[in-house]
Amino acid sequence: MILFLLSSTTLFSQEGNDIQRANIRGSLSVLTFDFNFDDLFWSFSGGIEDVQNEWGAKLNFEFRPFKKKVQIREDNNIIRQYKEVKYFISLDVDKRFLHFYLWGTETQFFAGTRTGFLLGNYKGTKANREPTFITTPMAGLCFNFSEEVNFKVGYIHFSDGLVNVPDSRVTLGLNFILK
Amino acid sequence: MKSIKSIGFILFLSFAFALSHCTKQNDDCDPDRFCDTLPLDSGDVNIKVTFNGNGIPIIVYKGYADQNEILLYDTLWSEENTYYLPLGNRYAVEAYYYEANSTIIALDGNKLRESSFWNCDEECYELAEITLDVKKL
Repeated sequence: MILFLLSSTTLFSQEGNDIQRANIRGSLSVLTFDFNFDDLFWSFSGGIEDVQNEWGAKLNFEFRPFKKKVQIREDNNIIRQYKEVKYFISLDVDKRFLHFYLWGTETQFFAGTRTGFLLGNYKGTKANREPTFITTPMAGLCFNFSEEVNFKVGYIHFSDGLVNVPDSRVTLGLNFILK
Repeated sequence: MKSIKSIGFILFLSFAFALSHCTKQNDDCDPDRFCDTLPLDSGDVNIKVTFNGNGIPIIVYKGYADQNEILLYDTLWSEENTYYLPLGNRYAVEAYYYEANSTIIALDGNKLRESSFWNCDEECYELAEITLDVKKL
């Protein structure tokens, strides 16, 4: 991740190979959703955004706002089905690059990851879900409505080990960069 | 200053209104409504399964399934069955679906709590029920 940030900062900085002086600002997001046809997660995050070099890092708390029936393969012959409550606590790091206009809005590509622990519990058992360390790569488009507000639309590969939920999800996020 | 007072008054009214809904609604009185003033000691635990023509084996646990306090074994021959069990306990159920290459074990659980309402300053008890849904996905 650190290598990615360093290399991407160099690769995509606006003045060739010179890393520009960082301009760190706070950032906040309360309307971020990762979803597919079978599942939905809502996340809150806060962190920093280097508006000069166009990367950000946020502490992210993500959860499914309802209990969901899920199936988890225990071994070759047994699948366990639970009603699950799930949380994901992660570090969200992403880099924005290139500038172009789409539908009259200044737009960029972004790529990054959320890395952290999946936690949760199940109805009917005291045993909690084993904390699982996962990395979820993501990429997509970032619409910069202003210097303070952007909207990210992309793909996230959320591999949480469920038999009945595909790993591919859409991510939508409204982000506020604080002054 | 005046606006702060106004906001304070509105907040006070909102708070009082919210509190009034937290208290027992003793004003509601329907003398014709049936009221059972004797507390019940048990309630209904409804168990829902996916029935496909074959019997579905279930295990009902008192407490959590992993505490392994088995209350009963049964095989269900319909989509739903009801068990009359003591109140105040948590119950869990496992349903076993045998398929060609694997077994799906579905689990659900909940607490069976006393159910009552107030009518004409009397606490009336009614049948408590919970539904444990172990239908296969």
